[in-house]
Amino acid sequence: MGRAPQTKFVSPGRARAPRALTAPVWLGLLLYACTGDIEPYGTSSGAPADPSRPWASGPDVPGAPGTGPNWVPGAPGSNDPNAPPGSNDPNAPPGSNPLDPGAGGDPSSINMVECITPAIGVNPLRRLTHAEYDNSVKDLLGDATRPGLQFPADTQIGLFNNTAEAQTVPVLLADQYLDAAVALAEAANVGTLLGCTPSGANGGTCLRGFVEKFGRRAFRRPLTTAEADGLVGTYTTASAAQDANTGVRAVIAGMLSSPNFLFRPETGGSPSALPGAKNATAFELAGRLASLIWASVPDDELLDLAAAGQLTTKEQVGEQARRMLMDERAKPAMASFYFQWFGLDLLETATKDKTAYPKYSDALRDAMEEETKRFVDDVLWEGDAKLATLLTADYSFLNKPLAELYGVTGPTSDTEFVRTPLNKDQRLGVLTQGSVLSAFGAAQQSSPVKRGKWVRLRMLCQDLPDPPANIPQLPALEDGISNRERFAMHTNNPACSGCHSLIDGLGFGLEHYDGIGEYRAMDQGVAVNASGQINSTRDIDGAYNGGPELAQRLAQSEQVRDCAPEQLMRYAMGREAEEEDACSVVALREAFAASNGDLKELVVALAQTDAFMSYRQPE
Amino acid sequence: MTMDERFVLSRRALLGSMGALGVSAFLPRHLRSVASAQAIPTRFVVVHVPEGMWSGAARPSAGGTSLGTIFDAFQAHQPKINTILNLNMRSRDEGPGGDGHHRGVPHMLTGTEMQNESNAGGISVDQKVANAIGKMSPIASLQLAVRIVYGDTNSKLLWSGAGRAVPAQQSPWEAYKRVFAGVMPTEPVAGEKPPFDLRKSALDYSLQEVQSLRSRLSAPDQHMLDSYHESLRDIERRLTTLPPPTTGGGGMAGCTPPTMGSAVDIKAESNYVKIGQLQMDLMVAALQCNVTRVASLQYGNSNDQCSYSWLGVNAIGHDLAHNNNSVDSSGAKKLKVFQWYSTQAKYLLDKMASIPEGSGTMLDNTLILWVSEFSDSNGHASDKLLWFLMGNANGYFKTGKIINADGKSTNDVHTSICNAFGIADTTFGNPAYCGGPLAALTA
Repeated sequence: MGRAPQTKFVSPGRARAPRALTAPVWLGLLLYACTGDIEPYGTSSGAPADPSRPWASGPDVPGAPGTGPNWVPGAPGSNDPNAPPGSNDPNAPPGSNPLDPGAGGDPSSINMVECITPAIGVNPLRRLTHAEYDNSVKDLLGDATRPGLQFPADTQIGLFNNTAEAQTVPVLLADQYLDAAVALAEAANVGTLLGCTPSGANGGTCLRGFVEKFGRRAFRRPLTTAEADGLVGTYTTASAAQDANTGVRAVIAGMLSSPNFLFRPETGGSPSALPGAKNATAFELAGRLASLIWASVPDDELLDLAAAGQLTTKEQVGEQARRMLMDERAKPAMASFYFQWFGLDLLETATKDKTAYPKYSDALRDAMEEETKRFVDDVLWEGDAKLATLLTADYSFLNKPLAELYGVTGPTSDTEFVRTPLNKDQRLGVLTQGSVLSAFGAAQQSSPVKRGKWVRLRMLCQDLPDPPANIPQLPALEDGISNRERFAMHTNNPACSGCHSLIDGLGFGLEHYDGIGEYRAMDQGVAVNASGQINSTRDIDGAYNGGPELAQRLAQSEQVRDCAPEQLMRYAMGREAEEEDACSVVALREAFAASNGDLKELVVALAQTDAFMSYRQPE
Repeated sequence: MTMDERFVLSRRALLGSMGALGVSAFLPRHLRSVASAQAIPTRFVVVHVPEGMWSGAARPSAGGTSLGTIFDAFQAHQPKINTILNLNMRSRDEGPGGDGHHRGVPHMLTGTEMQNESNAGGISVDQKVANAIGKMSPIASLQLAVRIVYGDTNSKLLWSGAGRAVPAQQSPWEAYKRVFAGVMPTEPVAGEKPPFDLRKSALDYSLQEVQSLRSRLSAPDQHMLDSYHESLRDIERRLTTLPPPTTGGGGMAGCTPPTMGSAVDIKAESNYVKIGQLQMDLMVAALQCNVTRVASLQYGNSNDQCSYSWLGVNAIGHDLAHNNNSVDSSGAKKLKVFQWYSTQAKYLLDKMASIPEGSGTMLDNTLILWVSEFSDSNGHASDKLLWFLMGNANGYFKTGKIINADGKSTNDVHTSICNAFGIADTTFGNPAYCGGPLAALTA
């Protein structure tokens, strides 16, 4: 690597000082300053970005927790106390660009990180997400009823809903775990599950065989003798009280409500050379792989390998990761990662003004979601799995209403989605799909701010501080003034431009798409100006025009290529990447680069990092 | 017919048949005390509404009795309400956290700095009250909500401790199952052996497992596991609070689970009104049946995503709050929204006031904290807050007043609430932001 002259990490749990409102009133508009630091995503702003701009409806990005240090732009402006007022200086004058490396800064160091001393971050205890719960009971019992849909939603911190820190079990959830365990046990087909009779002459062997086999998958490791004995005792009590089937159901309900199933405790590792760390056991690795790739429990093949001591080396882990990626279970699990990364959980409740967008309906929204799901699936599992393809593919999967929205021909059915070439001058890749553009559009208009922030945060891994309160009203929508022009104050006024020069230039390029992603040549009676400006990036600064060109720039960017591994790391570890993870991040970025941005190889490489193959318990 | 409907019918049939026998002999232990006038429990309810208490129309003024244009819907109940003006959520801008929405919600009922940018740093007042009185009922506290569209910090109102959010149920049908089908004892079928209790068996097993796993974990992981352990313990306590199903069930006269009808899409905005009222029906029934003594109802996210289409507003609450000229230049839409929430307060107040208890009504034996985290939501202002304390908590508060708190802390109100429920503390939350109980409430 070696490009970063220095790497600075921010200490964990850093409290952010309240942001004073420093903006002046100007032209009757109270404007806000971005004098706080712009922080690489994850350091600051737990700061769920407030969409509280009056023109922007709907939630933006719930921000990252302040728990994880992260790499900051290795910019002298932020590291050198003698540097001119720069990104980290709360007293910086309005208008200072918080991402700008400043005088003498080196843009090539933006979001760079260096591996100096091998180490890993801590791994707090993790509970199954509700999706993992549903997948696990499906794999264990064949029950696809998805009881987890009724659980109180997993808390989202940062971009992802699997953050360990938030995985407590309040009484409501404990109640629902017990209810679900009982309902699943009652619905289970005991005969099929056991394949033998738990009562009678060979009943003891039959039952114990079931307890050990089912338990090994549910707990992701062999049961101890005491555990197996205890479950046989549970069977005995219940079968004596009622009947043999009830005995088996009691065993199932017990295991499904056990913390050894609901959580993934990792306590068995062997000594590691990494400070304070242990090498994960083969079974712990099996559990980690199943969680990462299938969002479920391991299969017997994986557990058999673990039992045989053949899930220990990087090669063995990599081989299993590849096998698991070929399995159908990988599809929904990986899709979930991409949907969270792209913020598409916001699509379902994105509210659109019916007058402004009479075409928008639940059906159209669902079609947008289906389009992106099929597109991601296609790129990953049928296509070349390249990040660049995800960003710039010139085709998508459309039904008739979507084809009409996109102005292309081909699909003739509301229910069938057909691979359809896009008009390449108008659309390329996921950023130009209706799902992203609607979830990150306003109710009545486009949203250069939400969309610009989408690019900055999710693709470039650079976070921004929250906007302050007391944001004044934007000028009303009116004919003759484009939506873009309403945001002119952001760039014209120094108090706004500090942050908005980092956001709006990325969003203006998407002005050809209205609030639901329909392409438009005119906006409010004015010809659309979709020229944009990229700045404060490592390698793609400069002017561009329109969505396709923006998509291509992103696809060419090393910074974007280095961002994808960081996002997967967060998702995989259930926490922010920490300073100690630097070597794993570097290894992951190098592997991703070496594969020319192959997203499946990225998963394999992640499974082979120190951060994944070993763990450090929190202290 | 769904299982729930059958349950309602069987309960009604039972209540009818018990009429001649005298009810109390058949009551489960936890309900018996409720039947006697001497032991009517005092309940605590929190209702959260989004985007502040707007000041764009006539407001209550200190010393007066008129609630003004926005809150006129529940003017008839004003004698049983304390209206508190000019409260200051003093902790809110201290410590880590995001913007006003993402700070305001976790700060509002905890009154102390957040642990980090995602989590509150202490216990919320409803949970503190639940710790004091909740264990006298099967469900220590009941959390309900209407259409929370995203699950980040700006929806996390209630905390059982630092870092431990208490979630709410958004489906009244699921909540009904938990509150009535799950907790109320079912009638035994004559001559049949009761079925093996799988749930109790799973509970006992998981409790053992938690204990054995715990010793192998580091302290922070133990803390995480403890959240499950404590929850299981609470469920276990509930089982011992209730008689086993074999002793016969049924509730007190007048305590009948609400009729829920068929489930509808809880995410659809078109069901917002219906879901809210069903949740209130359910809450009141749960309080009346003493299934719980502490309850909450949360409308939407702090960052309001409802467009109030049934009012003809068709503009998103959050946009309205930020004075978006494009959607509401006159403020007329905003007035409709805020007045609508007042009609929901009226719905709850009317309902409680219609249930006789002792010499008064349920409202007399209840305290409702009706709050929002902002005064003016455009400015994300958390000073000059207007909060309501409805009901007098069994005579503890002297109601009917419109009080100028003159910048006193919201923690002072929480201290008064704690005191009303027998918690002798002199402060709430971080004492640095608390001046002790708000004397005007009881004077």
